[in-house]
Formats: sequence, structure tokens, C-alpha cells
Amino acid sequence: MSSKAKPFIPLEEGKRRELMPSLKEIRLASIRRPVSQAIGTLLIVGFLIFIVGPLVVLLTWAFAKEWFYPALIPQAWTWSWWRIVLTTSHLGHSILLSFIFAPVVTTLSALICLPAAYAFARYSFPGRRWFMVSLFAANAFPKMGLYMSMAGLLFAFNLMGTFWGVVIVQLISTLVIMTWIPSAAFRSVPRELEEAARDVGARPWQVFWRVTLPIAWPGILVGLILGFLASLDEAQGTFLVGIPNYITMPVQMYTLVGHYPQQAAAVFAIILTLPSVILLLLVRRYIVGGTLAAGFRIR
Amino acid sequence: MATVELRGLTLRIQQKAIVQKLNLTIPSGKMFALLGPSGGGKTTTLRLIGGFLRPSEGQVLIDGEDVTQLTPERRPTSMVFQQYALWPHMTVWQNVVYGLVLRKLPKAEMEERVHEALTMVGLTGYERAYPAQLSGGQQQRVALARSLVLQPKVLLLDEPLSNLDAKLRLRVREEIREIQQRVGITTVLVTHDQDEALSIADQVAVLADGQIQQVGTPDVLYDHPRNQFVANFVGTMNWFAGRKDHNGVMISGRMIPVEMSLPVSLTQQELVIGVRPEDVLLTDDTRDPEARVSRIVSRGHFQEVVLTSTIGDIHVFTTYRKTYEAPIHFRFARCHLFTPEGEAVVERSNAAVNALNFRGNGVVVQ
Repeated sequence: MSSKAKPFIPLEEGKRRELMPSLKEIRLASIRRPVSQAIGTLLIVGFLIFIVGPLVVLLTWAFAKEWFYPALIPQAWTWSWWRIVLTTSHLGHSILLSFIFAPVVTTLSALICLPAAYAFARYSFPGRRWFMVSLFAANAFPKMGLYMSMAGLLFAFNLMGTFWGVVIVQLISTLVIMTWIPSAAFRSVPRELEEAARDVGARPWQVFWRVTLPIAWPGILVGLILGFLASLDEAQGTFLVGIPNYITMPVQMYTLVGHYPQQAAAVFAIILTLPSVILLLLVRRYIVGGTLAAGFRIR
Repeated sequence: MATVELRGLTLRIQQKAIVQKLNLTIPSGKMFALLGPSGGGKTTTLRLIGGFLRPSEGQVLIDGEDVTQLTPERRPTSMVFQQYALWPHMTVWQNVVYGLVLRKLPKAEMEERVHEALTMVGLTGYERAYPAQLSGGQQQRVALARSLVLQPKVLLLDEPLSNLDAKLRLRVREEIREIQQRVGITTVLVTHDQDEALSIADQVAVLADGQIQQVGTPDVLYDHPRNQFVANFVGTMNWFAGRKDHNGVMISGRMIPVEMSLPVSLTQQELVIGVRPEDVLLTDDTRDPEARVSRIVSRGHFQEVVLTSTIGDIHVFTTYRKTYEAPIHFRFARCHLFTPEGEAVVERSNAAVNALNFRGNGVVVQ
């Protein structure tokens, strides 16, 4: 909103009083400020230590030629690890594979889960609760057991080691995210807003596209991103179903860590991290920014 | 211009009747209020007219056309929601124009009509504002413009003023009435505020327990309540148990004179007697029953005097301010008589009452 020109809005009588903080609010604010500042600072320090810290170390390793204990920075630097990783054909191939699987899985998952999320949010039908809980249960237990029994099924249908076999196994890890988060987003859209659209003449599908979806969009976007990343990072199931034909980035990581020096793994890990960072930067405006939060306040 | 007719409208949810056999004709071009306590079925009735609910039985007719099976987008009605229900991701302009976009009108006409609607509610200059940037009163007017721009046959208002503060409420109330009369649109207003209903509606239907208690003009409801519920809900009443006597009423063994003539019969019957606070007259006449002033409450426009007497506490509204020397005397200018079951006692000869569209099945006496 801040980027757009604001229309001039003279204050109305009622509004003016709303803007004036009450004595109680002033008193509370003066107590809260130092406390909230301290908590904020702590959170930022924690964020730096636990999230940025490892990334910095990783980044350093990726350019290190020699780095022996107890030196704080590497003794010698090099680009060669990047060249090795990017030119060795099977590594490049697995990067490509990952970026084919993730969009396919995300799209399929969205097609399956978003309508389900809407149904969970808006309709009550027999078994509704059971469905939601079972989605959760599928992710609550160690997945290896699930994948093993799935492998049996995929084997029966001749899907082991195939493209669609990998897609199916990766879908599993996105289902909960893609259903629960958008479902909450749909549920937070007041029914009256949909009814008002019906009232001015919109058919149900027009209501969905013009009112429900735009308002629920931030939540859906979070679901899509987390789903995309879940697919991108999925290693166990992909390993079990995909080898030897489909070795994606995270699967490759395992072999890399075993067979190459630490530096190559670091380079690979950075490449694996990049999509998350880029995606989060792209949608930062939606998730963190106050644009939607301000626009969506409903009296 | 359109009449709305409800025929035997019933809605049951899990065997429980939310509204029951409503028969109602809402005259064309009038402001019609559905008044009642919460849970009385008034919002349900409005939603049945708007098409948001399907009745279990009965019909909704608009201009004689049966619209019972039509969805909201196919009905010639438009609703202003209690929480306004403005789309937060659209500007004021987009909110108002959306219905016209759906109707695929030519661009020039759309612009003209949106401008006209915004002018009518006094919101020109706010086209690019988002709902969250507006005050409650302004949001309310956007919602009204969004409905009016479609030129619906029937405008439905669901508690339109309940979210505004007291001062603003009075102003918006007048504005709504003014716009309604200017456009001449048939309007159904749902409210639990009797003051609101009485002050802006042409006709009022009192709803309780999913049933219509009485339909009439505000004056009819106030002056000739059909039953005890309406008498109590519209305005205030002092209630007594007693009997009719020759020129007054007998309460707790005391004869209290009533200036208005009462039905001639019924002399020995147990009755419920209701007296409006403004119908209690304070006198110096020692033949009238005695009372003591226990409390005086200033209400601004008038004074509320609470009397303690042998027949109980009596609330009196007086327009003049004055202090009272004890003891004083009182009598009733008029009173309302009800059977112990709560039905109004009506005299058949009272032609004036019948002429005032009184649809009572109150007890009729000769």
C-alpha cells in the first residue's frame, strides 16, 4: 500500500477518536516496548547463530582449498570445487532432475490437495475429521516403514525405478502441507464475503476466483512453497524408488558426502539451499509484508 | 418498485422450526422493518428472502413471481450485510463496480452508475481507498452503494447500524431513510432496536420465536399492541394483575381511575393491565390513589419518576422537571388490557383500530 498513492481521507468524527490512544494503551506501550525489543533482539541473535551461522561455514567450505584446525579462515581459496560439481555430468544431471520433479510434484499435489483443502474448510462430510487426521498420521511416523510397504505396491504396478513412481513417493511428503495450510487459509475467508459476491450476481466459480482465492492466496502460497521445498529435499523415498535411474540432488548428497571431499558436498549443499532462499525472497512481500495483513483486516 | 410476499414460509433445522408459517406482504416502495429479539428468526427471514437459505416449506414471491428456488445471484434482491462484507482486496471502486462487471455493462454506463451510487452515499473521492482505510460509517456506505448500484427490486438491510457508535448511528439511520425514500426502493430492514424500527420504518413486523406477533405501522404497534409480548417489546410498560371496574381498573383492591373509556363488559374477569409510563398522570386530587416518590431519574428529554404505592412500583415519564412533596396522587390516562394468556382485549366497536390495519386475533368483546 505504501508504494501506491494514498487517496486523501479526511478523518471522520468516529475515526478521530479511534486514532487517539487511551491512557491505558499509552501506559501499556511504555511497559511493553523494552520487553518486546529485548525479545526481538534475542530472536535475531538466535536466528543468526542457528541459521546464518551454518550457512556461512558452508559458504566458506565451498571456496576452501585448504582449511585446517584451528584456523578461523581457510589457508587457501579455490573455485575448483564449483567447476568439479558443475561439470561432472551426473551431478549436473541430478540438479536438472530435481528441478523437473519438484514442479511436477507441486503441480500435481496442488491439483489434488487444494480442492480437498477447500472441501475440508467449507463442507462437513462423513469422515472429514478422519481424513485430516490420517493425513497427519502419514507424516507422524518414520517414513521408511511407509516407503517400504509402498515399494511393494509400486513393484506390483511396475512403477519401481520409473519417473511416476518417484512422483508418487514424493507426493506423500507434500500432502499434509498442501492440505492443512491452504485449508486454514480458506477457512479464514469469512463466508459473508462469499455470500456478498453471490448477492451481486457472481456464480459459485466466479466467487471462488474473484473473492475466495485472492483472500486465501497468502496461505496457499505458503503451502505451495513448502510443498515445492519438501519435494526438492525428499531423499528417502526417492532413493528407495528412483535408483538407479532417477538420482535427484538430495539423493546425490549421500553419495557425495561419502565419495568426495567435504568441499564438493558444501558446494552441492549451497546449490540445494539456493531455491529456498530465492523462493522466500520472491514471496517475502506476501508473507512478511504488511500489505495483505493491512488490506485483510475485517471489521 | 416491487412487492415481496411470503407465503407460509417455514424453515426447520433438525426438526426445530426457526421460522414458522410466515405470511407477510411487504408493500412496494416502503421501508419495512423486521423487529424482534435475537433468535427470533428475523435474520433468517431476511436470508430466506435473499436466497441464502432455502425454506422447508412455503414460497417467496417478488412482484408476484415465485423466486423460492432461485439462488442469490439470480434474485432481484441485494443485501447489505451486518459486518458490511466488503471485499478487502478490492478498492471502493472495485467493490461497487463488481456487480456491474458481472452483468457485462458497457464501460461508460458502469462508470456513470458507480459514480452516481457513490455520490448518493456521499463517498466521491474515496474510489481508490481500500475498505480497511475507511471508518465503520464509511464502510457501511460503500456496502450500501454496492447494493444500490445494481438497482435491485428489493434492498435487504441486516442490522445495518449495529456496528456504529450511538451518535453515528442516528446520522446514518437518517441517511438510509433519506436514500430509501429518494430511490423509492422496497426495503426490508432487520433490527432488534425498537427505536430504530419505529423511527424509520413505514411498517413493522414484530417477530419472536419464529412467528409474527404483529404487523402494523409504528403507531399501531405502540398504541394497539396485539399481545403482551409486543406491548413489552415495543416501548415500556408498567404491568399489573387486576380487573376492570366501572370507570377504571381494580388492582390489589384499589380502584384506579382511567380517563379513556374501557370495554363495557369483562367486569369480573381476571386481566393483565399494561400502562405506558407517559399514561400515568400525577394529580393533586385526593380521591385518586396515593403514592410516594421514591426516585427521580433524569433522562434528558424527559424525567422518569418512580412511584411507590400500594399496587407496586410505577414508572412515570413526565416532560416537566419538578420535585414532589409527598404524598401525591395518580390516575391513568389510558391502559391496555390483556387476557391472562397475553392476548389483547379489543372492542369490536372500535372502528378506528380496525382501520389501522390491526390484524389481531385478540379477544373480541361486544
